[in-house]
Amino acid sequence: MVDLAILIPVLPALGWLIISVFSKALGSKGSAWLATTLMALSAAIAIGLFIEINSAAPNWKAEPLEKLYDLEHHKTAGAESTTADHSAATKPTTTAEGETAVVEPITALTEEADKKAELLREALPSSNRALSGFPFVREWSWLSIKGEAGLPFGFYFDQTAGIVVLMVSVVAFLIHLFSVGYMAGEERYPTFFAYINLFAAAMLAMVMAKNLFHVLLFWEIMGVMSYLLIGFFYKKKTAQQAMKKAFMTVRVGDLAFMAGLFWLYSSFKTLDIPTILEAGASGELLRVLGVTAAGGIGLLLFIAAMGKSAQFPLHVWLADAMEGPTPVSAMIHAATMVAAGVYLVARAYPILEVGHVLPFVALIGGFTAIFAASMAPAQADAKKIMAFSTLSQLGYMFLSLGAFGYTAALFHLLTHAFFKALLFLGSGSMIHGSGTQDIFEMDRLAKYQKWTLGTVWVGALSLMGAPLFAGFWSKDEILHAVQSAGGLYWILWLMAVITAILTAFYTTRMMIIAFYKPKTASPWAAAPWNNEGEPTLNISKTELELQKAHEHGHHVSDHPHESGPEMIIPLVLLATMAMVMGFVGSPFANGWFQRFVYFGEAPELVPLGAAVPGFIVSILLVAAGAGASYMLYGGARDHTKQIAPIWLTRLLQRRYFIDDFYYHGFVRLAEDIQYPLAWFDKNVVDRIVDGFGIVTGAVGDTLRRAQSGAVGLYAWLMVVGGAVIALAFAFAQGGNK
Amino acid sequence: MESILSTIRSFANNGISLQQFLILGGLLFLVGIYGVLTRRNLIAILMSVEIMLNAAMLNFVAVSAYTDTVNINGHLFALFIVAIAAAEVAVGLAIFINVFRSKGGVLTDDLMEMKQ
Repeated sequence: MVDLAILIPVLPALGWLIISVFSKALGSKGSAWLATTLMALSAAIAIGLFIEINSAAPNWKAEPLEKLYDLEHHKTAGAESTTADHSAATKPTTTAEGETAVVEPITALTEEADKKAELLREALPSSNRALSGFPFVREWSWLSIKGEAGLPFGFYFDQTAGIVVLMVSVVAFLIHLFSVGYMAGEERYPTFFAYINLFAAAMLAMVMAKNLFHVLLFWEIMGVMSYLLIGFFYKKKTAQQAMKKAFMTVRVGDLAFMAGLFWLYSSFKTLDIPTILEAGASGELLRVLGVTAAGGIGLLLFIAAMGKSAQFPLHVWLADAMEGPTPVSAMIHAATMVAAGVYLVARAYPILEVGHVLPFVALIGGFTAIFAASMAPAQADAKKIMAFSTLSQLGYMFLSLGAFGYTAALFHLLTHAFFKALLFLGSGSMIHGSGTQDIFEMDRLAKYQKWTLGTVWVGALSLMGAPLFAGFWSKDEILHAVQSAGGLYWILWLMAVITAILTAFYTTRMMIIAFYKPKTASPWAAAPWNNEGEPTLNISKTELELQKAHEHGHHVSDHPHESGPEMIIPLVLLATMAMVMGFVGSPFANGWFQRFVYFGEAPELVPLGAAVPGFIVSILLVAAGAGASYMLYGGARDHTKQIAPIWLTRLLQRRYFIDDFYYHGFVRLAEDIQYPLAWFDKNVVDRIVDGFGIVTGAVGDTLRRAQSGAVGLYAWLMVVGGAVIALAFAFAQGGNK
Repeated sequence: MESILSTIRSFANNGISLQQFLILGGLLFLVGIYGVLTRRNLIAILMSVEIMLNAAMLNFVAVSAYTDTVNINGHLFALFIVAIAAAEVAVGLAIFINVFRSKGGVLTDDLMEMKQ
C-alpha cells in the first residue's frame, strides 16, 4: 500500500486535469461522478495505507503507560507535565525542571528514573511490532543537478501523517458526494468538481510531503484553489471581495512561511521533516540553531499557520469565505485547509519547542477560541455561526499544541473535521431545503427535514462536547492538557472553559431557532451597522437580483423540504463518524489514539481515574451553556427579542471592528498609495518602455535601407567582406609566425 | 621588364612551376569576380561564376599534380566541380528563362523589388 500511496494525491489531480480538458465530452454528471469516483479510490487507498501504518507502528501497552502517568504526576507534581520531557528528570537541562530536580536528593532521582525506564520497557515490549521500515519513506530525486542532493521529493508516513491523510481523504470524498446533489443545476458545475478535486489533491500531497519545501508548494496550490472556490460565484460582488480578502490575508502568513523556510535552510541546511524531528529529539536542533534562531523560525512558521488556520489577528478572512458554496465551506474552511496550519505546527513542533514559541501559540489559540466564540451568538447566518465556531475550535487546537498537548490537538483535528464537515453539510441541507441562510427565516425545519435534523443534532452535540459524542473526548483531552501544563496556563484553561460554555450556548441557539421556531423576519437584517464602514459597492439592480438568486441557491422554494439521497447519505455517514470517532481516544478503547499519535519518546496516557473530574467539568459546562440558551430561546419564548444591549450586538456583528480597522488601516492606505504609483507607472515606467520601442524602430528604419535588393551591391559587399576576412586571416597567420 | 623576361626564360628552362599555376588561377578568379561585379546581365554573371569555378579547379589540379604523387584527390575534386558546374548551369539557365518570362528581361535591375 505504501507504494500505491502516491496515487492518493495523484488520482484527484488527474480528475482535475481530465475534467478541465474534457468537461464538454464528459458532461455535467460525468464530470461530477468522475471526480467523486477518483476521490473514493483515493480514500480507499488511504484506508489501506492507514491499516498498514497501524500494523507497523509501535504497539504501546495501555496499563504501564497509565502507571507511568501516575508516577510522574504524583512524585513531582506540576514539574513533569509535558509529553516531550520524559527525560528531564535524568537530564536536567531546561530551567524549570532543572531547578526542581536540583532540590531533590540524587538517590531518589535515580530510583525514580529506574522505575520509569522499567515501566517504559514494560509499555513497549521487545516483541514490539514496529517494523524496521517504519516510519515509511518513499523518495524520488528532484531538482538534483550534477549528482547533488537537490530537494528530493518524498512522502513520509508516520502516525500523524497516516491519520490526517485518512481524515482528509474520507471527508473530502463525502463532501464530493454531497456536492453532486447540492451543486446540481449550478453554472460551471464541472469546473467546481475540477477545483475541489485539485484542492483535495494538494491537501493530501501536503500532509504526505517529506520536505517542508513541498509542504509550502502544496500549501500554495491550496491557497489558489481556495481563492477560486471562495469566488466560485464570481458574479457576486461580495464573493469577489471575499476571495481577495482570503487570499491576501493568508498571503501575509505565506510570506512568513517562506521567510521561515529560508532561515531554517540557511542555518540548518535541511528542510527534511524526519531529520528535523530526529534532530529535535537528539538535541541537535538546539545545538545547531540555538534558542534565538529556533524561536524566530518557529514564530515565522506559526505566523504561516495563523494565516492558513485563521487565528487572531489573521482570522478576518474565514467568516467572509462563507461566500463560497457550502461544500467548499465544509471542505476548505472547516475540515481540511484550515487544518493545514495545525498540521504545519505539529510538523515543526520540535523547532517551536526548542525556540520557546509554544506559550505564544497557546496564547493566540486560547484567545482566538474565546474571541471567535463570543461573536457567534450574535450571528443570524447559519454558515457564519459555523465559521466562527470553526475559528474557535481551531483556536482550541493551537491552545492544545501550545500547552504541549500534541496528541490532544491532533485528536481534536480529527474529530472536528468530521463533525464540522457534518455541520456545514447539514447547514447546506438546511439552506437547500429552506432557500435561505438566515436561521430566523427558516421555518420549523424539524417538521420537514427529519434526516437533516437528526444528523445536524449529532454534529451540534459533538461540537458542544456533549458526553459520548466525538467532540466530548477530544475537547476534554485539550482541557486536560492545558490544565496539566501548569504555570500561568490556568488563565488559558479558564478561557477554554468559557469558550466551551459559549460553544454550547450558540450551538443550542442555532438549533432551536432554525429547527423549532416559525419563520420570522431576521431581526438584524436592516440594522444600521450592517452597512457602516464597508467599502461602498455600486451594485446595479440586476446585479442585486443576481446576488439574491445566488444567495438562496438555485432552488428557491416557499415550502421547506428534505434534501435528496445524495445529500442525506453523506450526512448520515458523517454523523456516524462524528459519533464513533471520539471513541478511538476514549477509555473505551484504552486511549488507542493517545497511544498511536504522540510526540516525543513515549505516549502519555491519562488513566480513567485522573480523567473523570475533567469529564464532570465538561458535562457541567455543556449543561450550563445549553441550559442558558434554552432559557433564553427555548419553548414558547420570543426568539427575536433583543437580549444583549444593542451596542454589544453591534460590536459583535461588526466583529469587534477589526475588519474595519484593517480596511481603513491597510486597504485604504494601499488605495491612497496606488494613485501616485499609477502616475509613476504611466509617466515614467511606460515612457521608458516606449523609449526602447522608439529607439528600436529608428535603428530598424535606418538599417532597412541597406536591404536595397540590388544584387550588384550585394555582390560587391560580399567580395569586399570576403577580402577583409582573407586579409585578416593572412595577417593573423603572419603574426603567429 | 627584366624580371618578366627572366620569368619567361625560366618557363623555357625549367618547365612550369606550381607558383605560376597558382598565379594563373588567381588571375582567372579575379577575372571572374570582375565579371560578377560589373556585368548586369544574369547570363554574363553566370559565365563569370563559371570562370571562378575553373580558377578553383585549376588550383586543385595543379596542387595535386605537384605535391601529391600518390593520391589524386585534387583531380577527383576537379571532376566533381565539372559535374556540379554543369548542373548549376542547367538550373541557372532554367531560372533565367522563367525570370525572362515573368519580368521581361534578364538584367539584375529587373529583379529588384525592394522599395527604398
